[in-house]
Amino acid sequence: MSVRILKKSLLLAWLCAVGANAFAATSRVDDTGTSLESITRMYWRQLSPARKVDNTMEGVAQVQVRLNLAPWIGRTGRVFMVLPEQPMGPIRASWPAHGRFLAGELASGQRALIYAGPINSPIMEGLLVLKLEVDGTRLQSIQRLNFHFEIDVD
Amino acid sequence: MLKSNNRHQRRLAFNMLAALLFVCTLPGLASAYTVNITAGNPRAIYLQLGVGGFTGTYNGGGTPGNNTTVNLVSVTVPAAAVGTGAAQAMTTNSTVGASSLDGFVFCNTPAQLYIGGFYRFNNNATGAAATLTATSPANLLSTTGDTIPFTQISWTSSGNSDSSAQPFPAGAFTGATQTIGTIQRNQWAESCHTFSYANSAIRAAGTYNGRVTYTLTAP
Repeated sequence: MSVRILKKSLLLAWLCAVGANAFAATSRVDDTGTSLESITRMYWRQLSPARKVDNTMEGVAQVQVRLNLAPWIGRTGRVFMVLPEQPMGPIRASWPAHGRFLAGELASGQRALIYAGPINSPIMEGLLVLKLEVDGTRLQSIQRLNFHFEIDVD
Repeated sequence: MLKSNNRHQRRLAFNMLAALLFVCTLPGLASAYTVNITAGNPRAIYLQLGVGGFTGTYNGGGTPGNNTTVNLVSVTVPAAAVGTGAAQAMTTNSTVGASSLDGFVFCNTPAQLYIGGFYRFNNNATGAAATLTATSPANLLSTTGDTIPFTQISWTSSGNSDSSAQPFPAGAFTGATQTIGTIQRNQWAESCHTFSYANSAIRAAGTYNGRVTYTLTAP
């Protein structure tokens, strides 16, 4: 009886351990150490409020990304950047390719691929220059945009 | 002894399971990075009297710019008319008749001076309008020190094909700072001013000058 319990427990534990990194479709990536300027100033894309109104405000944030990929080392996977839905409404972010990071864009509520390939190093670092676009009429105080990263392993 | 072994094995199994569960949940202990954004230039205003610095048109997403030109509005009163009380129409040296809103010929030069501008602000709750003021000195001065009160100069306000109320309505200079009109948030406003000299008293011969400064102020 006890041996059976032990076997079941070990099987469950194995499934859990493997499942988190292999079977589960998506895992959150630890991005501790990622750094950027404390505030990003946004400016009108079109200074005059023309009849064909464009109320977009734009800004650029340079994000020094540091991803802990140790749990998936030796695997092949795809890393995504995620921007959840924001209370202030739609927000767009786009960035050029830089180093190992792919160019991409996303809107709030979406995720976008920033890396695909083998994970050979426990830490992946690089610069993402984010161009942010928001509706200026809804930017009436400091807004906090919480990005995070996810990984899908093959 | 057998029971003890079973307990030991169960505890061992539990501990291993707990340890493995801890390991498998580690990737979930992830952070997120935060981008704090704020409006860097929430307000923008543009004002043009006569010749301005707008490139393109407002409706076409044009770009405002600076122009340091100071336009002149003037009249030469015929000798026979001096002091008769017959108002004398003034003209401007500005050649701008086309609206920077859409390019339409809104004002008739040289009889009228174009006044237009916009106020941009991202806040929907406050800062409803920008205010246009004009500051005039008490008098126009001649080179010999003679004076004409600035209150002798007034204007009417209109625009071609525009029968609605003008944002910068008719008035007369007060010889001080006065409100000319307002521009609502995120709008373009424009009028054409036709100036006249009241000519209500006989003045010494000469050329009289005075400068009026217009100021658009955002709240």
